[in-house]
Amino acid sequence: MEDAADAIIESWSIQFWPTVGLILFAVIYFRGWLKLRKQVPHRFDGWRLASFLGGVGIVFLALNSPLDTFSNLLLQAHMIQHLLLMMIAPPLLLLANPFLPLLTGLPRPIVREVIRPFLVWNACKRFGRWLTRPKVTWILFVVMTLGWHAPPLYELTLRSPTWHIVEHACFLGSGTLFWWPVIQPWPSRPQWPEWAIIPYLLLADVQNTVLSAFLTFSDRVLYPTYGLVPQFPGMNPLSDQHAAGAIMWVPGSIFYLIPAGILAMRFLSPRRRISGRRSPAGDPTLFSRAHGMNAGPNPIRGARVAARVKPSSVALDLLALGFFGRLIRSLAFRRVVQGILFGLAILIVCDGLFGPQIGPMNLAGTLPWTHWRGLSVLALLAFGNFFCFACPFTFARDLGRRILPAKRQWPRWLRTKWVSVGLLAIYLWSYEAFSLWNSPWLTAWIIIGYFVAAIVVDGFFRGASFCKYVCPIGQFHFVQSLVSPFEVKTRDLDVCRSCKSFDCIRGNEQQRGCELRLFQPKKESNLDCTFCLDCARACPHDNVGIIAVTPGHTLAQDHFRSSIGRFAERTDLAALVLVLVFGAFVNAASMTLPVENALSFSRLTLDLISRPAILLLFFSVALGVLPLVTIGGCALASRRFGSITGTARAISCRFAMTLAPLGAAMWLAHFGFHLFTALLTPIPVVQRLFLDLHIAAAGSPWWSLRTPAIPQLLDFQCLALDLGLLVSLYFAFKTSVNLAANKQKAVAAFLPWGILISLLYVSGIWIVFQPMEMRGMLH
Amino acid sequence: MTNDKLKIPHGGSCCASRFVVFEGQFLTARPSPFVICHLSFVILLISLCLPGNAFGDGGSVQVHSVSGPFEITLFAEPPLPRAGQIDFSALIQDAKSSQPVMDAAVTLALTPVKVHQNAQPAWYPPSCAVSAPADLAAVPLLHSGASNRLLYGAMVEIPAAGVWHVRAEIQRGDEHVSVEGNVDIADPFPPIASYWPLFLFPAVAIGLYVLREQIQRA
Repeated sequence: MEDAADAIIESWSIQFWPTVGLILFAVIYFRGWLKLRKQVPHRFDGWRLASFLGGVGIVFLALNSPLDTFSNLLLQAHMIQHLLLMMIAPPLLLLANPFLPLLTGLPRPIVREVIRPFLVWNACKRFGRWLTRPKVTWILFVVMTLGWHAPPLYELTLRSPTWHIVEHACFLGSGTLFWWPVIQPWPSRPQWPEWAIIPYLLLADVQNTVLSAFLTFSDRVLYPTYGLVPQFPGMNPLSDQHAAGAIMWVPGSIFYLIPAGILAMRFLSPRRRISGRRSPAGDPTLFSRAHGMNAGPNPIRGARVAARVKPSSVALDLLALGFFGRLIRSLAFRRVVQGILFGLAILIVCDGLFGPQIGPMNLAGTLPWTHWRGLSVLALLAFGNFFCFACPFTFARDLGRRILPAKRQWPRWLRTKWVSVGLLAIYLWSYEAFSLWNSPWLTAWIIIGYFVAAIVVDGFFRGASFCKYVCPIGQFHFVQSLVSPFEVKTRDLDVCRSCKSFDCIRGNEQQRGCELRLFQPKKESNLDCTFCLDCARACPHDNVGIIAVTPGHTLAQDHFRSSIGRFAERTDLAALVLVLVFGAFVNAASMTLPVENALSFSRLTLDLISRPAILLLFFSVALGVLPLVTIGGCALASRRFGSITGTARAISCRFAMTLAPLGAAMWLAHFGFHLFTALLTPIPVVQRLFLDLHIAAAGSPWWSLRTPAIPQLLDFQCLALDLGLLVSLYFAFKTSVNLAANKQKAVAAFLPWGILISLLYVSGIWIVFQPMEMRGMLH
Repeated sequence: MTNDKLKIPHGGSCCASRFVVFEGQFLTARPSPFVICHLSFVILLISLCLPGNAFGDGGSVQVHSVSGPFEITLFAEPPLPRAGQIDFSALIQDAKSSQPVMDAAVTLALTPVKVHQNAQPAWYPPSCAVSAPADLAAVPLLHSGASNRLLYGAMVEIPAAGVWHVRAEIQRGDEHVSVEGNVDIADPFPPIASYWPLFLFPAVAIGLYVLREQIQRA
């Protein structure tokens, strides 16, 4: 880098979380603006959006641009940063009338469950009215401006990054409050007559002038830190301070005087005097109209305009998304995706059997254990069970069915989840006991075994018995998809009520019905749903979609569900959920250093020779005894203290389901960790494979390639566990409310479960903070 | 009544017009615009307050010296350096003109002088353990390693608290100078302390939920 000027321009320091927050903020506004623009276009025309995005952009600029980078070296850069946060960003944000767009841009369940109760709370409204009183906003603004510029506090912000952030938050917050009575964003109501805003602005300018004059004319350096840092050519700490004072004085004053001038002109204009007589309370949108903005006359009328808002028809439906919807609905597309994964599986098997027997150098050691698992959990929690949709095993099964009869009924005594519970427990144990992640050969044979099992079970038995009763991967997907944001469900139940053909489950000549016996009108949640979309294709009324739902919305209810029954009666289902929840924690803990050391110590103490034996003991306790004792104990305590009628078993089964979100969060934290720390490992593996196949185009394997460390990964893991905790607690409480006679009893019934969920969360946090074995990577 | 419905029915009086139907459910009164806007702004402010993982280099001045043709300032961020990741950066200026020197090769060497007895070892996020710690005997400082591109910087992992000797070598053509000094490295923060906002979040959410239940009951 040769040029210092270029270097200054390139000195951006993008801060991750603030940037994520700003993007989210803009997306929420944009979403709301899009909806409202169709309905009240004159309130939300293009410039409102531009104003909001401009405000967000200014905040981004203040926090990430070279202004921030140089703020600890140059007071004038710091001063510009403060002006942006106090004087430019807040008015732009408020001019965009952010109230309705932010409200309508948020997801409905958040508005309904989280925000609505506070909106109608009188104390909150009183506090809001008090806080937006011009007297209060003015005092807060002045206190913040003067206070943070006092040398002790200013020095504190230069020494402490945390206090620096607090200072910026105070500036943005007090700036927003200060400009509130000036802009009076629609549909808020003014608390002072409009003329009073003129002295409001002028008095604020006076304090700005006093402070900036003090900075400009002072003959000593007020902030000693700037005296210690190196000086740039032609500058010294005092001249820098004077320049900062001038910036605060001149452009700062302009921001007060221009709106004050506009308001004065409006107030003095003859037309305004007439309308002012008509409306003594003043027009809240005066400032907007003074700028030639198209705004309504008052908030009540504005509210009436909003009353004419037409509701959108239904929630987001992926199958209704034009070409994309038609694509994922088509059987041909599913076959293509399945075919690709089938081909990949064959490649993995071949490499596992014949390639190098070192996990991170083999496709079988990287793709299935690191990438496929991580991506599948991400897809489950972001969309739905799309990995069952693309399952290569059912692809092979459908091929096998062309030869095999598939006429027998799956034995009645096996129509439970117990087989898959056992298989899952065996898998979790064997994964550690035989280091499956580092054994391409075993991995290949497991895949082969999977194909054989799928073909044999579904080749001889009707329906999708393998998926529903045997496949451990499928069960994993079913349980995690309980908290998916999309669900295969009917678009309109009234259409189903008038339907006589029931093609969604029976099928027709062109299309088979649901092989998992899920009858759409009675289906709730994604449990047992493979997203195969046979029902959607079979429905003659085109009444099945992949529809956005509140994740986990059915966990606290226990209606009769098609092909599932009631949670309270399904011990096998509860056991499946518990194995997957406790398994999530045990599986992740097994690769941490403290647990590994504890296992080695126990092995010596108990004189157990083989590692599989000690792991068998560990997994038996962690996946068998521990869930049994804790869940049983919680159910008994819940029944006793909450006076819940019903057996402890039924109570256990109900509450066990509410642990699923926390389990999903732990799987996400764990698999996400491996996915993002070993993201690039397949590159040298594929190069090696090409080389083995005598294809030189990919070059020699780049074994030294390392995936760049992502420091934010731990933040994401904690955040995932936070959300899992909150969702599990919420549904456990809702279940208690449904079961108990009154609120007090519900709280008592909930407490044991709350404690259990919290303990699981704490153990999850402990796990993600431990040094992890880096599997699937060459060290 | 489905989504996106924001309906404020006409009323005979000002009071009646304040009733709102949102999402098909009546609110007892018109929601305060303040609450919506400010809840959103609070969310924004919270996100702005979450810890940023990238240090903005600069920080506190650790060594300042004029040596040969260069004026050298060595910074450490965070300003109070703690064992673990520290962002070291150096500003090299021409001693006469104070112009930043952009074409030098800068190397940093760190050696322990006195490591605290029973000092807590530095902690790194598990995902960062894959990146092998740099050789502290010769850490190259580069413009690309600093947010402020006038500076030369690198993220250095200091394994333990104590007094560390730091020596920066600057080479430009035939000119070669070095500066040195001692840096006090404090004990690392407990890992949990670095992530407190993420642990505060569930507590705040639970508190708000309890409050919400109380409001609804009232």
